[in-house]
Amino acid sequence: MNYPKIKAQSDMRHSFAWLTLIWVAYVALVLLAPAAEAVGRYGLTLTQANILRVTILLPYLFIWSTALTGVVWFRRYSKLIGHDAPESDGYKKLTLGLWMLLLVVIIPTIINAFFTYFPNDFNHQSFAIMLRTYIQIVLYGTGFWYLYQASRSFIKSIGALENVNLYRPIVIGGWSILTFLYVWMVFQNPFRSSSKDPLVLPTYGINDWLIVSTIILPYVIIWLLGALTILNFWSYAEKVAGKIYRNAFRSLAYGFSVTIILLIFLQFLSQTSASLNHATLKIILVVIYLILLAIAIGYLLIARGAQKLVVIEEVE
Amino acid sequence: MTEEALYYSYVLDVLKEYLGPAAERFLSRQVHTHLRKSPEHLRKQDIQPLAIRIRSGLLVLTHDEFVVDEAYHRIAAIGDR
Repeated sequence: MNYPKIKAQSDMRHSFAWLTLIWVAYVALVLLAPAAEAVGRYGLTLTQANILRVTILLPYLFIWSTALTGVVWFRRYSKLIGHDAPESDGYKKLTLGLWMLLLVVIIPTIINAFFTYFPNDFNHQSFAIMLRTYIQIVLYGTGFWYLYQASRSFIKSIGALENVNLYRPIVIGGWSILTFLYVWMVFQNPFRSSSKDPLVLPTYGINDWLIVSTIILPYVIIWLLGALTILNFWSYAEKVAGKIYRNAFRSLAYGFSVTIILLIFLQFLSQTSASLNHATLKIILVVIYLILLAIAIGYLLIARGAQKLVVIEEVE
Repeated sequence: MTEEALYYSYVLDVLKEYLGPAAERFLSRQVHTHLRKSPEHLRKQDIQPLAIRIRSGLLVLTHDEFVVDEAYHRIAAIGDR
């Protein structure tokens, strides 16, 4: 019997070699950075700060690896089912979407690390925030556009529109409430454009007009795409024929649901930056570890679903 | 439809209930690899060995032995028709 792990190994090895190189460069960038202002604020030595950094760097490697595993499995799955399968278009778009979700956990993290080399330069820090925010918006936007297209393609391939039509008003209603809450929270945030508190960096560092047009608007559109993607994935997972196939696809639906919900939660969390900056180190670390754990769970479920689908196509 | 094609169609109908869109590719692989023939040339006497191969394949995909046995018995029964 041919086991898929063996067949996919060379694909995996090549991709993971690149990922490890990037991670090692990132580790060097982080550990060689000068002591941040936060190190003094919490009374840490540089060694203690570096130990803490390592506890974040390792989960990052795990998250990157899991996201990459999902991409590699799906790329393989798309090849296995060929161009003629009705669901082929959906899986190709899903792979492209996953690529974006992989880049979104790598690029902004590296940007953050790079700008820690300018700890006391306010202009550099503000630029870093803007660069990171816009790169995230572009990657999430492109990623969720592909995922939404993929989910539509799946639904069309089995013609199961009843569930989608039934639950769409509820999804849009929930999205409207979240949008209202988000806009309200952004305008309650006194640090959204500028900050006079030396401990708090501005959340966005741009004026209100730009916040609305280039941050709030793209994000709420991304959320809508995400929410509709979840609805389509779940409808497909419920209606597609095949007990075993459905089970594999459910892992995907869970993974994407966790990732999308987390994205929305992080945007809400970013509005509380002032409180977080004044919080104790213990609270900040707990928040960071919980976020990393949730990201890891999301990508793990996606990778697991992808692997199950590949096994179906490779078992002989 | 020829008798051989009918057997293929019966097995595929059962497998679709377990493997959905992947059923046709799965069945085609099983027939090519283990019976060394094309799926449309499936004969009555091929059904029993095919059911056994499919059972092994499904066991790799799920730990739910009830589902696997159910699929096996349904496919094996096609050979008794």
